[in-house]
Amino acid sequence: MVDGEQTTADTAKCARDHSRQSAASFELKAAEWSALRSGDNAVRRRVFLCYAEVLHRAVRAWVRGIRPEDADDLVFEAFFRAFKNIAAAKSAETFEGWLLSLARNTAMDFCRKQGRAVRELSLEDLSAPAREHALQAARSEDATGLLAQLASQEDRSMLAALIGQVLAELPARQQQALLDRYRDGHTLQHIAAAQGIAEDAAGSLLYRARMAFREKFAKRSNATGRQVNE
Amino acid sequence: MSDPAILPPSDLEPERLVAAVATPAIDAERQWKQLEARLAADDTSKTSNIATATTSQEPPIRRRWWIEALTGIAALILFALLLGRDTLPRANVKHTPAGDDGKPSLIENEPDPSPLIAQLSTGTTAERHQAFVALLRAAKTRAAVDAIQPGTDEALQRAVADLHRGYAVVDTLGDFRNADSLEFWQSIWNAEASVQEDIWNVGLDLNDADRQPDAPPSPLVADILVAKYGESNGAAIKNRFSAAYTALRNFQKWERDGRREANVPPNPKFKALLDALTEQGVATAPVVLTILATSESHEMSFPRFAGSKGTYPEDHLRMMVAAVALHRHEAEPLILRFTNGYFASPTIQANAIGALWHLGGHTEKGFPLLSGYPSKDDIAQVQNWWREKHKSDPKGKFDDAIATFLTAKDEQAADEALVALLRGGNAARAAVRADPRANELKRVEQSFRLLDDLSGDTESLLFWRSLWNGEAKQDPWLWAFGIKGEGLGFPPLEQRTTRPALFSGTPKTMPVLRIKFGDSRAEQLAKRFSAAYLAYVNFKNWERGEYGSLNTPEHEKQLQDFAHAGVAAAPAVLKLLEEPVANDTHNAEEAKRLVEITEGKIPPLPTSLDHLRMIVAAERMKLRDAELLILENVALEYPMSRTIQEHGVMAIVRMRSSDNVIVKNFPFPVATQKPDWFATFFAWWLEEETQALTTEVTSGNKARADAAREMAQTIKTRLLSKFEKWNDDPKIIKDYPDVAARLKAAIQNFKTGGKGKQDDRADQKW
Repeated sequence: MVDGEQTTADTAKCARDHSRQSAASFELKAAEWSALRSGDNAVRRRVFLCYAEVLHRAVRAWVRGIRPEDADDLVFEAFFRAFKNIAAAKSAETFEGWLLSLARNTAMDFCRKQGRAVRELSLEDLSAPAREHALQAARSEDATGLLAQLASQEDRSMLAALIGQVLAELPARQQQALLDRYRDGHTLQHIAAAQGIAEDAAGSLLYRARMAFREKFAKRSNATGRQVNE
Repeated sequence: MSDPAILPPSDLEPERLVAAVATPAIDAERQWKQLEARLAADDTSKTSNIATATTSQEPPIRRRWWIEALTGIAALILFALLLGRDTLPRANVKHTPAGDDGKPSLIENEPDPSPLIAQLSTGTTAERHQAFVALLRAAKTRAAVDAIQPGTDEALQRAVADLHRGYAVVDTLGDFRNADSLEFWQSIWNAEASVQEDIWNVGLDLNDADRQPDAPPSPLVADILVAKYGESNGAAIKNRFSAAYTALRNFQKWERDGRREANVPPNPKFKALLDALTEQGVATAPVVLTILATSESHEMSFPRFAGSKGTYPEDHLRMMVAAVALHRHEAEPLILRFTNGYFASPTIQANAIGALWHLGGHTEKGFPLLSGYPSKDDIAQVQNWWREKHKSDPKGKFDDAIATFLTAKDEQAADEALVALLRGGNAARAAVRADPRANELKRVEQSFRLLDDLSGDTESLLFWRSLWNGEAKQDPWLWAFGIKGEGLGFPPLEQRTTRPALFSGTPKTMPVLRIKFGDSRAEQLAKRFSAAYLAYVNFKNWERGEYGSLNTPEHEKQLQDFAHAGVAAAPAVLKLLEEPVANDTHNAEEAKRLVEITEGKIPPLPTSLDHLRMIVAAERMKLRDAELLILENVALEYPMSRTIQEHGVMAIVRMRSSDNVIVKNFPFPVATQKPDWFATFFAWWLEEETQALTTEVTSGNKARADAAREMAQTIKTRLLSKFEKWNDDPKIIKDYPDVAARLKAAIQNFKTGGKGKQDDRADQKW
């Protein structure tokens, strides 16, 4: 399932401006799902515009150091495969996960051809000072400011890739909520409006996103994790 | 979730780190339009299979770049193969500049070098590495590094020395964008060798392979790679390099020690090892590809060693190892020969028995297990084992097929019988070998051998070369054209071009192709082979100057047609396409030699073949005075091979022709190579020249007249005595008085400046 409040495929809507290319609130109605499966270009376009950024971000996180034009190619290829193989997608609800898996496989193919590996990054991949710096940022209200002070470009891009990889494991709506809140500094009200949901629902969404993110993040670093059942 | 969930410490809010994620700059609308176009194109082509659809589209620029890079690697491997086994000779290794500007990559906001320099001697190991890499990356800090005075601090001294070496190496490393090119890996290999001298010995000298240098890359180079290519790319390169190096070492060990290194497997397992490497993407490393090519080069050298005399023990040893590697059954009797005491050293004998053991002896009862050098008894035991083994081969089963093959009335029936035998595998092979009519079954034997030889990779040069060789063994015409066709003295051209078997697209090796690849793929390969063959024949003809009509533009068009037909994808044809290019350099050298001979700098070349090449070269290079050069050195040279003279004359005719219209009044021969024809030609040439010069001298244009007079003087100095020598030939004077008179008149006329009378100098034109 994409998210908790998403109960059926035909109840939600894409309330966002497509020009922002966000997948956060894109949901497929039953009619749209059928149209997508039958190759309707209007629906394909909506899907593309909504998920392009998510896929781009994921691809860049998976393939560290990828050139922007290669990332374009990979996203392009992933969508092409998705639209041509849409029959293999089981349902509207699982479409997003399926699309991300497909993009990941495409990225892995690319890496294989390039002789590099899609590697799951962890905090350990950062240099020791950068790791400390990142943890300090994670404890600070001014994370943005602290992160900007990271000395090495290498560490900055490594951290961005690590966080990107963790984000890519979350549903698109949760990804968008976290980005809106922590990267762009938007209010809950803004997030609710952007997602086309009530403010309470946005709060819940953000909470679940935070918990999911923490869990995935902790798995990337034993040093910072603790088991919940302890 | 069944697994216990893991959460970070409560005071940690890692979601804040999301701020580190940048917004990708994408033009989604533009990309959508491209995607829509591609989807539409795909729908139009009604290709439902996604894989097919993906490859059938025009690839993006970068993908095309990779294809080109891979093609380049194939060409380089081919080059290495042609050169021999020394895969990475130091002299041939090229340094490629680092990045676009040849400098180490700059990093933004370069750090202050002082703390980094301090860390070099005072930091922990990790910090020292970090500082080292950071300093290497920051090109602007070079000056700071240069200014360091290490004093007595030894750690700092070492670090500074390493930094200086590092800067030098960084500049020579290749561009990561070319990470699949041989040049790139050579630059890495070079960098490593500059730090670890021993790597050369391991890489190049088989006899010195006992040395054990540190596994590359060395820590210094590892740091350099990280500095140059970044953490992740640097690590990827390190891994590939190490894996390739390990594969190289394993192969060399296996090759050198044969059976004795039980931990290094023989062919099937070795293949599996390489397959595993391929799976990991390691085999894309050109070094490994070269290793693979090296192993295959044994295959090519195999027949050369078979039955040859005076080869060294190492050759025998390698041959045996190669035979085992290729699992060739004909290796058995050959190896068996090496077990003979008078023929080989005890080491060779031991290795030969070892090789037989690998070829299947280990499954046989009574096969001797050696603990040292083999005794006479051991050898006798092995020989008996082999004889017994072949006695029990099921010969009778294939008698019918052999009989059908021998009595087949047409080629198709013979091919069918051959296919049946090939399908019989080793048993059929043994039956053929044991048959008393072995000579008549040579083709079957050759086909079995080709089946062994043929690589499964039909895009590889090895495949096409094996096929070509296999075909040539069954078809002597092919040798005459393709292999030995460089020389002269072949049957008349008309006979050579009437080769319906090949021209119809059915090579004699078709049964082998059918067995190996199935009917439909075999058909495609046969077509490619025939097209390549045809292109090759045409090219050779044109090069020899035997087809006046096959001039360069037409020939090029023909090759283009092949390319458009997709035939040019065949490596053999690519090779053909390369030839004219390669010959440009060659031609320039040949033409230069011709000029140097004329100028007396070097003596005339002894072989007629050299002269022929010079003619072709001079003509192709469009040397301004190629005609004079050819006349002087070839056509008029007396005595000279008539064939060569004929080629010289035909080259002159081509030079004087335009659009393939044969020049006016040219004495086209009824039968060439007769002295009267040559004399006639020379008379004609001199008459034409006299007339042309006369026109120029009397044109009223001083410059043109001067140039013509200069030319006349050149002809007088360089050619006239040779014309006279021809005219003095008693045979011509006696047998062809008319021709002799015409040549004499032409010479006289020229000598008198085009006037015709020697004594009246007043009207002389030059």
